Amino acid sequence: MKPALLGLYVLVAGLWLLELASGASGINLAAALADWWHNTASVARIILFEVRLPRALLALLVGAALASSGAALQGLLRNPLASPDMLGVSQSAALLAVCVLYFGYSRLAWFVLPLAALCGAALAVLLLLQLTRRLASAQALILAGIALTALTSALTTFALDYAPNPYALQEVYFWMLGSVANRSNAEVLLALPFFGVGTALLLSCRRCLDALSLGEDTAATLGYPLSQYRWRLIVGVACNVGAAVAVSGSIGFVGLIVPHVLRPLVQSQPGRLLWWSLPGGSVLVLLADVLVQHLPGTQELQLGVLTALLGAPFFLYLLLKQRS
Amino acid sequence: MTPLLSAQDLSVHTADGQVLLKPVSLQVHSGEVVGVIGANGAGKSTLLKALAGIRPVPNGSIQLAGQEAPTLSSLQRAQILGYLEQRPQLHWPMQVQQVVALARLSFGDRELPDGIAAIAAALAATSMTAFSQRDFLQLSEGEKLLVNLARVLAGAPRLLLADEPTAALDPAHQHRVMQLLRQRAAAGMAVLVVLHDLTLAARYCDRLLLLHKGALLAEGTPAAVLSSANLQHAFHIDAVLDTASHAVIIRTSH
Repeated sequence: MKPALLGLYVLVAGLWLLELASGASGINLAAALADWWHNTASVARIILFEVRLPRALLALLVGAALASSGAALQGLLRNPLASPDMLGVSQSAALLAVCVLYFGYSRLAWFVLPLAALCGAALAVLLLLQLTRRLASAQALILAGIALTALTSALTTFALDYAPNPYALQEVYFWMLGSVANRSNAEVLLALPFFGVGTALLLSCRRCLDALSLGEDTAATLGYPLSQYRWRLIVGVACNVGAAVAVSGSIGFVGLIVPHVLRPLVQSQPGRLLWWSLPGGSVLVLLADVLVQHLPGTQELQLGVLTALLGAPFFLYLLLKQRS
Repeated sequence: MTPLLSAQDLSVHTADGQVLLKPVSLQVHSGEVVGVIGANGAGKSTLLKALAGIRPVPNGSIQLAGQEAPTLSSLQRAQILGYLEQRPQLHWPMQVQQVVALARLSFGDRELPDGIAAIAAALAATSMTAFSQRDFLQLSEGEKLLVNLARVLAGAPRLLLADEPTAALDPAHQHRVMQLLRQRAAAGMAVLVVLHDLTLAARYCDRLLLLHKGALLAEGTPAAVLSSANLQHAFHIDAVLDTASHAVIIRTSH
């Protein structure tokens, strides 16, 4: 393993521990672990295992899922500006998640919520693939993504307005901006199988993504026709984004920033970028979530607000760089 | 001897039924350089894409190294056939060496000794070793083409399909590329190359296929194909092949 990649994993481990140690109530981690070891009920143990652990695990998993999906989408569409939230994939996932959640369908089975989000993400990726064939420039595709984002966000608000839910406004806030706070271990277990399948599918396409650097025609002659990998990539992105959105709302810009920062370190090889984006995404989301817990204010900032504050100027910078 | 490439009654049309290539049959043997010539829009690139498996072929059959092409997996096909496209593209800034290394994807040995040796040999054969650490996107069009030729050669294909490999090159490099293709053919490779320069076609090809409006107008030795009548019919030029210098001399054009 390359030292820089190893360094990323060490950083993930360090930030994950810092995330566990962060929180509104000051607890002694060692005492909480000792209580768990001796099977003694205590407030510290409950806070560590029921509040902070799921939050830290979700930050780790959601970051890896969103960043790897961003890297895969950029490779698939051969567009450095592509990411699940910029193209409306996350928002489409949120729309279907909101529909099944607030109209009661999520009670039918445990997998209905993430499956609905997954379908929303998959439909968006399919639509984008069709648009890629018709829209020549990278900027035109981004504009189409912005339109899809606006449409699905409006439909989500519309659905929440009609849902029998007195906290609709607060929920809009969650689904649009995203957060990993106040999650439970059940939500980690809900998303984990989808993350596993999604990441495995994406990693199985890394050579195809490398070949696609030379365009679809040449990739086919190198033994990697997109027609054989397209569905794997779509389902992989949909699993990762769908599961991430189902448990954390749509956290923006992770899938855009992480691949961009890491691309020079992997000499722009999309397959390698996919590997590196996994810990890279975890680093960004863990870091952002630690920061929102330490920023001054009466109420904790939504995680998605911080990633947007970082991501939006970064996106503008990329747009200007592309134009030049 | 079994040809490395054999196609029977190959035809291509668009989804709305427009015919791009009328039934064409051809064979290319190991050690041969076969040129495909014709005016713009004659169907040369379409023919190569159909043979490379990029464009679906609704009618006709293709055999690669004696096997029916549809029975081969994508990776098996990639290990037999190398394709050099007309306008190489790269979507990310990558080092030349990494672009060439993509040819070894189907072998899975990009970072193993065999793959590394093949990459180094291909870079040396195209005189691009000095460029191996350079950013591909910063190269001139001619240099990009040479890198892509190195990329195809690094895959050690038994059959090379090259779509206008000399188009962006200066005369010296044009001859170098064609000499390289001849050397590879002498080592056993079969080469099917699209050329616009009729003099290069006459000088370096064993046989020529002349396409006109999607159909095969003539096939044979350069002397037979590059007759004044064929040149008049396909290119609307009054020209003659000087067999001593292999040069096509244009007298007048319409």
